[in-house]
Amino acid sequence: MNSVEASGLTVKLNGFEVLRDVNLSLNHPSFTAIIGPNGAGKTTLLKTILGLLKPQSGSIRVMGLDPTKEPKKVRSMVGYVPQRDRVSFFVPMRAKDVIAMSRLVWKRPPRWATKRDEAAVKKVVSMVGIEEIADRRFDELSGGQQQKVLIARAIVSEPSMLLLDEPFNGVDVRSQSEIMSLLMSLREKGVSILMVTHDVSDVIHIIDNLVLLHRTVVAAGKPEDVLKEEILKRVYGDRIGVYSHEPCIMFVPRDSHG
Amino acid sequence: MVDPLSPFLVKAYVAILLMAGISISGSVSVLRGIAYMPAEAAHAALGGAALGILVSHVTNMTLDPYVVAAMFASVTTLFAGYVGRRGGPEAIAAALAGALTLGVSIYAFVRYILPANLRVVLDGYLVGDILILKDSEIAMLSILTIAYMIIFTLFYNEIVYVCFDPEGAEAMGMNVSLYDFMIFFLIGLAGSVATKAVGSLLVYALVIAPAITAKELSGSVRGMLVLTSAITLLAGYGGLAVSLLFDMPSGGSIAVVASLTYVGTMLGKRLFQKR
Repeated sequence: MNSVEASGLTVKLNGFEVLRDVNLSLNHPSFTAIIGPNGAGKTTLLKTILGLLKPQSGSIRVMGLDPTKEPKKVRSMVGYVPQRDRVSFFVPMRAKDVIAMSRLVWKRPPRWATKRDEAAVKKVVSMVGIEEIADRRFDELSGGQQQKVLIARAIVSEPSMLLLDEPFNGVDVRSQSEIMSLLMSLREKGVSILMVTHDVSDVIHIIDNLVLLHRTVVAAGKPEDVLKEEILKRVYGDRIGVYSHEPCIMFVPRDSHG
Repeated sequence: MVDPLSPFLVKAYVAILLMAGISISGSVSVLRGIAYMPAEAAHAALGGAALGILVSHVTNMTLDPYVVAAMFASVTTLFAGYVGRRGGPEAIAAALAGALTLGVSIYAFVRYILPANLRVVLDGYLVGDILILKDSEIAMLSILTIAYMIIFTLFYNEIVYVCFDPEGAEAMGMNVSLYDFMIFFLIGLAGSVATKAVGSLLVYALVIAPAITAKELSGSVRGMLVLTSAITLLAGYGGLAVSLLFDMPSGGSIAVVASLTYVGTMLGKRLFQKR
């Protein structure tokens, strides 16, 4: 079974075609990174996978299900880690309450936590290694700690697939390394991971697939097959350099952020 | 010396207790990033109350202006919520500014054409006076507060999640639009309830000052809500005492004590942090 299977997928936002004729097939389980310049449609693709956006044409299946027809089933199987800056810092939620959120949303109001929910939260807190911050306010944590809490929230309901939108933004090197170890262990346990990132060099040695997106899939496959200067130049322009130093391949899109 | 158990004071004590319950809407406004909304809702409620009084006067119908005020404020905030979901925070602000203008314009127009005895009733919604509440108004305040508390308790988690991370909540399968509209409705309802106690001009101070004070001092959302209610109680009873001792308007005294609580907290926090 494939974790994601998209065929001729076109998605419009406010009349603007953000994704056009996307064809993509990802094995399950697998670890995939999506790269592309700003406005390439990376987040839109994640939201379409979750069934939050409906395609204008084409089809998409996630873990064998159509997210436009069975969004609840898909969302129960897919954990989502949004960009950290989308989360409100007005709300003084404790880290463990943030994590419990993804279990309680599936209950009926008033959605009170049971002992089982509390045990599940405790288990994932220990797994992610955030025992010391579980009782602290989310808005008072560092970027790396917040990211770990959001990942813990996404995996507490034991999803088959994990979507992460720019998980390393504003995260220090040590936390990045800890998050990568966590993602690798999830991958080994059979969870498919799909990560949107701007900097692929950090994850290049742990991903199975790399997708270069620019409104459509420009290239997809093994990282070394995608990270080629002639392919990257089609998206990022001529001011791009690819540097290889085993086991790492780096590319510097000097004009991707203007 | 005023008898502390005189009927009008007992009614004021009850009204303040009910206000403390409903003051959590101030916290919800702060959590949702629309702290200005209860004040706008209160001004819309003023327009609603004016319409209620006018219709009762013209048609001789028994129409409680308080109910019309609550409906008017809730519909206004729901409309703002609808506009905001399509156009973002700026659209909410624009819609509420329009509602505020409409509410105040209706008030001014109705006040102009009402007889003098009804103008006094209408002005009660502008400046409020917790010391002249009638039994029927206390009953209505109780019904609205109890309804508010039931809805809030049942949907507490939804409200917090929508405020914290609407995108993540939607991705988890929650009907974010529905609960966001619920938040707007509850804020409108609370704004109109507070209007009766302190008047639409002072709702902002009573509803928001305790909430932002509580946020500065709380380690969790539940703590913030409890503290908001406690500070509202303190401001209510403290303001009432100031009003009686110095013969000042009750609404203004309550709002001043609520605002001073915030100022005092911020000053205390700064001093504490310097040490």
